[in-house]
Amino acid sequence: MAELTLSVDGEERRLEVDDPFASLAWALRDDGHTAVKIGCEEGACGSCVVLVDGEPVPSCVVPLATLPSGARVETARGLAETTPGRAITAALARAEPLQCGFCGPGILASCVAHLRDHGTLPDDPAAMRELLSSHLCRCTGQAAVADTLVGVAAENGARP
Amino acid sequence: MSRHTTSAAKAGGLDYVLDLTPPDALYARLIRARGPHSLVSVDRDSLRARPGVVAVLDHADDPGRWFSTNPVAVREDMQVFSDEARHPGDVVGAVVAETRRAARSAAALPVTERELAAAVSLDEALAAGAPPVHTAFGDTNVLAMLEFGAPEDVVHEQLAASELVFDHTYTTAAASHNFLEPPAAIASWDGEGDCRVVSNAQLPHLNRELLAALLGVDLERLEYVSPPIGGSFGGKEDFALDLVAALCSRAVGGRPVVVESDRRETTATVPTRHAMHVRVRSGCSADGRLTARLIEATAECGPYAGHSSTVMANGLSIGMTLYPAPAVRGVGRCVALNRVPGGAYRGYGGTQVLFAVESQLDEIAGALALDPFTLRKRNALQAGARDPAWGWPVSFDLDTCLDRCRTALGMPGGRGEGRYRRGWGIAALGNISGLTGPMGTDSAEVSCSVDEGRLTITTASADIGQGLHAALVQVAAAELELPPELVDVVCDPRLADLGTAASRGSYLTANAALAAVQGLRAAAAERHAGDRPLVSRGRLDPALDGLSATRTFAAPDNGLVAGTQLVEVEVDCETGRVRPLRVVSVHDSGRVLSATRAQGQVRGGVLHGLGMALAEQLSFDESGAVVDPTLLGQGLPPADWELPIEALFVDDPHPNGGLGVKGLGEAPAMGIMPALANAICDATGARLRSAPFTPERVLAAIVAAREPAESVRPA
Repeated sequence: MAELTLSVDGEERRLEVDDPFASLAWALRDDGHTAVKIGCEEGACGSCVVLVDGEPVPSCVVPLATLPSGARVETARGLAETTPGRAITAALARAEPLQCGFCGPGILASCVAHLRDHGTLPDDPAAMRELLSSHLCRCTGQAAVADTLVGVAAENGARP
Repeated sequence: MSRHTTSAAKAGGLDYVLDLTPPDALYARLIRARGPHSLVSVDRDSLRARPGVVAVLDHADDPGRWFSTNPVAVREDMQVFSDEARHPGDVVGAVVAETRRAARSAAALPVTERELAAAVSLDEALAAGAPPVHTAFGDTNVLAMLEFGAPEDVVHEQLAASELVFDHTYTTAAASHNFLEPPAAIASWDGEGDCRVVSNAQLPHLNRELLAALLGVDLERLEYVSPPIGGSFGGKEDFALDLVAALCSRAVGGRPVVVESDRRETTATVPTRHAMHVRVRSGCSADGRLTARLIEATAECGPYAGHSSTVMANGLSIGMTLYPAPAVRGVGRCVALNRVPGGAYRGYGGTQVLFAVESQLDEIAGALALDPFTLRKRNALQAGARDPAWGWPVSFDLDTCLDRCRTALGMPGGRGEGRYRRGWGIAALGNISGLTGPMGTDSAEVSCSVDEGRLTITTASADIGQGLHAALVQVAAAELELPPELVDVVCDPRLADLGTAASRGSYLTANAALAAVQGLRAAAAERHAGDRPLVSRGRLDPALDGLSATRTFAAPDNGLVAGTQLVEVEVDCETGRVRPLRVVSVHDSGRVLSATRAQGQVRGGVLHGLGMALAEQLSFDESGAVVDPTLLGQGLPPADWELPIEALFVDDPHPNGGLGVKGLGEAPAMGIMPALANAICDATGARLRSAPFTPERVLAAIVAAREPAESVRPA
């Protein structure tokens, strides 16, 4: 059986590729990375978003077999411990906007990627909502999450 | 705050049911029939021979007892594994395999089906000589006929004596909950005959009792674990995956078995919001005083009764309560079809009936040239009066809700010229906050205990994403003046509490938590013989370790709530596209515990309402199967929708229960459909009586509005 070596949250993992169509999301979960949530398996809800070489991807529609050996995968559990991840969780703790929380790990991944590229999350509420638009929220529709995160800076979670 | 309840913990990933899968677990998938109605045989031997398959279960493994997922259903008509498929996707067995892939591929193979006559539409189910939808209950496809209020002859006499009579029928579509976390369960048995279940059932207390009865084990031998739940909205009330998991695990000698389901399967088979057809006849005087009201509703149900009759009863009572008249009557008919069953969904029938009642009120107001606020105020049940359905003093203040809504109105009335026309509409709503009523007194039991300087609140009510557990932390921390970081919440279904349903969490469970921590404080005072501070150096006083208290709150009434919702809208008269511009949602839900959580509930509920009003619906093909069960196909409101939604609260404490709270979970979803229909009519003159208001329907209604209508007739 083919194997693929990935870096997952900074740790080298050897994953079996037993099915060419098996998704990265299930492979990560079965390897114990349960911060990756699976809601739809069609790339529609955003619960499964992880960073692959820094880019946010819906891992439920990414076949594991298409990843290059050595690809760097980051899930919410690892990202929450990074400086931008802590900035986001600190901001969320001030307002507590998440309800069921199933969408949370995917949002964290998308927002960390943005923070790394831009230093802050969008100041403009519409742009912030746009950043969250690939993350479905059936509890509140994400407005409170967007309001909480608008303008958050990578450094300390403070608004500039 | 405790684990499970903070947004920071959620963003890092809570442990939901599948995250608790043991490493040695086997994987199970349900075997589903194509249906819509057939006798089924599962080829156990050939499935068992497939690589990786460990066990195959079918009708021979059914516990052999009819049951229902609703404890007060009109009949117990379900089996775990049936040999008669009664709707597309009905469960006829399960495959247990070493891997997820092996279980999925085996369970996806077709089973042998011998077709039976089916009824997938109301016409087919109600026709003379219609085939029985459920052959074991075959004499009629009418699951239930319900009647409330004034006798039939009285209401007809009153209608005949009324100056004006209005008679309209309104329809709504079936819709899926679209919670994000698919239903799942894990079960294992030990050598002593004890069973352990982990599931995301919405009502773990009830499911534990159901499992014990069907598995034939003592309740004490059943450990039922309820982790955080990734959304439900009623959709995990009709829940039997825990039963399947327990049966599968027992069949393989007790090894843990995880039963998974995917999105398409969930959307196609989880009991839906009922499609309903609601005819409303209202008599009134020329000045708009209601003299008679007759509401007749027909619900499209599935083959299994489940929640259908209680959904209908709740919907009718909500539709009847807000506006008393000399004769008010509600009649409900639940019709079984060979289609995915209807079930519990936020609003529980109230959404559909209020669409009819509140739409027709605007039709009456329009005919009488009254403004919609005036007509409602002229007829609304007043605070302090007796609720006509149950007889309790009315604790809500609908008048104030209407006034707040009128003050919030930010635009003039509609009927402009040109392609884009703007208008506004309102609807009132009522709802219950618990299940105290004709069947008895609703109550909730909560425990609290101190261990190693921390406080643990134990409840049987699951947190389904509405923030109930965070509310319990808040109540305990405030009452004992503790930092919330010292408070944990544990869900233990052994406590006597029906669970999270009927907007009862804050009223029932949070009031019980208040009583429990007050009991704890009294016990602490006794132990200390004084009033030493409970907290020192960042933890509870070590001398309190081991202290506990358990209390029950019994609700003396059903905590009726009221609200008024306003929608401002723009309609493109060339395409029929409807664009909501602003929503104001005013609620009298008693005292508000947390503005953030309350606003979250309102925003979420309003979006559910707008989704239902504009796009969300399940369509069925000629075999009764759901046409497009993908998540993308459900037409859900997007996260980047530019729509101001304002939540306003009357914040008037409820006299019953120490907290002054009532329910808010369902109410914000309940008035949006009629408010939007009324706004479209204000903007264009077009009356939408079928939801969702798709562009095709809106255009057709705009065309119809240009022709003279006959909605008022002399008595």
